Amino acid sequence: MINKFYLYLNEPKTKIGWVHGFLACIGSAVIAYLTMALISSIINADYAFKIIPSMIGTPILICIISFWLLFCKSYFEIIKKILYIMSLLLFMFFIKGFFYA
Amino acid sequence: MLEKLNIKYLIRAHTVIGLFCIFLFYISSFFGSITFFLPYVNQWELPSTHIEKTLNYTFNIDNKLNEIINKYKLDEKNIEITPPSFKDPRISISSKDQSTIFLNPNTNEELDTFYENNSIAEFINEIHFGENIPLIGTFLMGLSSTAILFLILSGIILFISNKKKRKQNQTPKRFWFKWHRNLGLIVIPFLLIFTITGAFIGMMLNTSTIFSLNATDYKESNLRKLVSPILFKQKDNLEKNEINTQMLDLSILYKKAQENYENLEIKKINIYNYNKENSQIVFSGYLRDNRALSGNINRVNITLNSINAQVLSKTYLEQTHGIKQTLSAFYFLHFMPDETIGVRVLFFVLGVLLLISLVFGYLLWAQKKLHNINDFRLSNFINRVMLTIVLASFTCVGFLFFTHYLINNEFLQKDLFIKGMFYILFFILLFYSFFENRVSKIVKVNLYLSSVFFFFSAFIHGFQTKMFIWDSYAKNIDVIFYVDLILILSSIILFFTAKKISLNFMSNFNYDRGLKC
Repeated sequence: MINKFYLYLNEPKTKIGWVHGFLACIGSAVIAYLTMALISSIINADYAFKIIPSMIGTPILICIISFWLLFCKSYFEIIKKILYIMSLLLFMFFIKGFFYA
Repeated sequence: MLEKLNIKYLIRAHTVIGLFCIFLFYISSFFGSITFFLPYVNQWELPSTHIEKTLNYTFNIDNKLNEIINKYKLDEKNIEITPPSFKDPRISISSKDQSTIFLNPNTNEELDTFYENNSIAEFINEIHFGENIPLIGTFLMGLSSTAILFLILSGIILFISNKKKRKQNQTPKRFWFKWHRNLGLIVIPFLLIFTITGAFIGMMLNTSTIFSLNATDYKESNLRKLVSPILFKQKDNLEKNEINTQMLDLSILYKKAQENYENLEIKKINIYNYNKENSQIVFSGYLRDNRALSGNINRVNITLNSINAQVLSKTYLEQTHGIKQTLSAFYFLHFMPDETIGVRVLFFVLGVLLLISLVFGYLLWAQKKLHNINDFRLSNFINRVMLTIVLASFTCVGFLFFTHYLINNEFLQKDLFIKGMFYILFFILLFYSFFENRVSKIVKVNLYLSSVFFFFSAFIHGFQTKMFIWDSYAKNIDVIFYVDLILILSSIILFFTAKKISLNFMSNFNYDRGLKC
């Protein structure tokens, strides 16, 4: 059963489907927001400098990441990329929280 | 160069995302293109702004200011005066929590504005920003801007990737595809400006909580509270002073400010502690050689002592906050607050090209679906919705102009009534487009209706304000004359376009095409 599911996830797609597109959209939005939120929290300046550039950069970053995720050949690849980046970002949030606490 | 499979993915993503956001983005772009002329529309709909521009058209209210302040008991702590400009030819005087008084700059007479409202301009702006959809409207508009940003980038990649192939295959391309691609490429720089600024204003301002919380270590979620004291800090009121001292005439102070800050185009004047010993006057505006960075958000100013015209302080562009400059450039690119007709016309033309490109992009998809019998019902439904959005936008805007002077200003709830009628007309046209088989007839009905609305709006305006197009021409009231002229010209163009359309126009999108299949 697990093997079947694993094979299904790894199956290279010849045509982009709804799941692939949905994952790319949601994944890119979550990663872009997390990245820019992390930058907002790290920058050492007044609130205008901390927040506004992140807000301008987020839609651009969403588009760039969505291309990166879109070009994955299987569901497994796209999920892997999203989870890796999210774990890295959450780890950096943890480190940041640990040092600033 | 991209792999074949990636190109395939990209084409599909470009089509699906385009299809999802085209309805919202068409509406936003259509009404956005009209908003380029909003200052002029605003003047057309307010009779008190129908002011002749004479040779003596100067800004001098020295003899009137004191009378106005005493008559209306304006708060002397901070009196705001707006000189006449291309956006509003009237002089306005106001203070906090009090209604604004408008003066005719030729005669300094007070203007009666009690029943006036700028319903067209406000409503068009509302639809452009998506504010007419409660709670999620502005966010959806921002989201569609982000989607368009994706479409721009994917379009560029597809254009570059397919270049080689196109040279090899000399087969004739479909008409829709060719013009969707060509017009799309022309408007890319223009579109990039508006999608990035639109995504910021629409989507990011609505989701700023995430950034505010992170920037403050989860202590504050309100962006305004954090950023306003830095970016939008207002000059504090001066200390209360009871000693009366006559301040210099406003015209002398105005001249002094211009002498001391030659590059400053004064847009607003604030008098603090009027006619008191410690009175100050602040002249703020934009720099003539840098309108973008000294736009609405980042005005520079000069402060004078109102009693002896001594310069107390001056702000230079270099002293202003970097983010204020960035936001000023952002808002300048999206709203063009200080630009006059030239740039507005150019942007309007680019807006029209964008609209055509969007429609051709849609037709490209619709054309493909024509041969798919399984999708017949769905594609027909979407086609009719899109047809209504494209055509009813013209008709409904014409209707807005038509009803503005048709309904008396004294009628309470005029705004609400006009908005209601606007939506009712839109849905009637939508039902009609579902009901009618022939696309050509739907197009004709919409174009004839808009033609009638535009034509009569110019004349109803004349009846109500006693200023017909020939009067505004004779009296040299340029803005009103040109708005009336454009309304009549649009009406004529729409009428002849409707007349030219043959019964076979886009007949492959008729319902009975399916029956023939």
